[in-house]
Amino acid sequence: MLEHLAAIAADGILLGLIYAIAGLGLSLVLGIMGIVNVAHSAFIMLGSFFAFELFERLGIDPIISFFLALPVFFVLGTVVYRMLLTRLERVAQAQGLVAMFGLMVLIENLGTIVWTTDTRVITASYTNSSVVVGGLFIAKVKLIAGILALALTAIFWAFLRFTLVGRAIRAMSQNRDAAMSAGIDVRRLSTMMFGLGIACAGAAGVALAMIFPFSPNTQVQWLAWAFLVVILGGLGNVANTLVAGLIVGLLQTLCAAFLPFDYVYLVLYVLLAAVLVLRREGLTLAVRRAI
Amino acid sequence: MTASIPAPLLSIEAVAKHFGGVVALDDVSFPVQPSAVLGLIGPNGSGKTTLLNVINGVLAPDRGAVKLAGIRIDGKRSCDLAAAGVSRTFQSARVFRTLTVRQNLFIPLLHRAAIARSAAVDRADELLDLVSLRPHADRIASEISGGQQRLLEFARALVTRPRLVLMDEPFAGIHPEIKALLIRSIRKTVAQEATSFVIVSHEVPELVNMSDFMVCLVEGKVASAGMPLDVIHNERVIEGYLGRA
Repeated sequence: MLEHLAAIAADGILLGLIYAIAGLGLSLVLGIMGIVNVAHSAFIMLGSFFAFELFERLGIDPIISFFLALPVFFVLGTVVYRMLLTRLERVAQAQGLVAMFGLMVLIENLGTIVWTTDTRVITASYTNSSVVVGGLFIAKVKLIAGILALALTAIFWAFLRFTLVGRAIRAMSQNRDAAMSAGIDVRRLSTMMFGLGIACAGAAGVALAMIFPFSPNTQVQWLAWAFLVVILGGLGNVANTLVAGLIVGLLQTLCAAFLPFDYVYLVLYVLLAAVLVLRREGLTLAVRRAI
Repeated sequence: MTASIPAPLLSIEAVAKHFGGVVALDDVSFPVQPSAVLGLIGPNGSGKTTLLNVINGVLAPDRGAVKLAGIRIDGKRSCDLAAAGVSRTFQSARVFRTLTVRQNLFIPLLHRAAIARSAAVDRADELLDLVSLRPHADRIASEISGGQQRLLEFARALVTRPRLVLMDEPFAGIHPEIKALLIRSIRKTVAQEATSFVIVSHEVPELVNMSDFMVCLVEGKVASAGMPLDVIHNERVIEGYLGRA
């Protein structure tokens, strides 16, 4: 029994690490820039198909695609920011939300045109094999995806904490006007931050595609998951997002082990509703944004 | 033989700003000379902060022009103005609260200018000495007192050696010792760096004492502009702002 629980926990932790990066880009873009990027999950979906195409057409392993997705989706994010979001700087947040929703619908429909609604899977050489860690059988693919996700989270955390640009982004997140008056080019940093958020979404899409079947429509589920992580973890905080991702992952695997499958989603959505009602700022009770 | 009048550093020329039907600024004009302190007074809602926001690029004027050393700057972004030599402080101190006191100064400097890290840190420490915050250099900014945060924000405004610093209510709600230190630091900066200041304040005696020139705004218009003592004895200023003792 104990061994069974430990295996469930390990599975949940690895899934949680991936959910954390699925929510991380959304959290940072929302927390630092105040943009509710509901199109975030559409970029996750694009990340999944990015890995799929590279795997199917060129035989590139998803591990490599994970790293390739970072620069590709970063550039994509900066283009979207420059073409769309700079035009939304002066409009009400509700209008910005509608614009991002439009972008999400556009990407999903383009995805459906290109890839149809068929469900795809990526079957790499290690997809169906396991490794024994501490006496526990762990799916190799989850272990790899989890390690990649943890590494990316650590890189984001270190970037924001220790680099000059990261510190300037933190300054911008704390007071945009003061940062501008101090000479910090807020638009350039915002472009970079949005690009990083989309890079994170793309990489998350690759990691998720390593484990789960996907189609252009599955992005809606990842949007709910990403928001759950963000709401649990609070805004713009890498460490809290990681913890929130782990909570969601553990909860999902525990529910899946002890409840009928249909109840898993019910429990997670009830958790989402409960957190929204009880703690509007997330579990950190952070009144202000902080990273 | 006539003494030559230096060209103004900043020229506010017939600036007007409306918010819907509310007239915030109406035909406001005055110059700010180099190495000078201009005190800007007026009752609440008279347009003082709006004017700072127009100079600083936060707001674009509906009419008129703002010129820095003869070049129009109205409508430019705050970060571009900072590069041109205009910086500011806010009504309530806006420090970067999760950065250290020293980082608050050298991060913006490093971000903006091609400068070695050691030189940026030296400049930060020089300013921390100016405002007596050196002992707190490695503390997180949110941990120091409100008055110290005001000093830190002032130091941050100076870090890039600006030509003009805009200060909005710098003396409000701070301990007299910190206020005295702030006034000393402003005077020292004017003398040593030839920086000009536009200071908005309700602390009229202090402002009269430290200003070279004074402007009083009432209902968005210039009620009086000139030497500080002349302004505070002006009938329109007494009527519209100071009142009769």
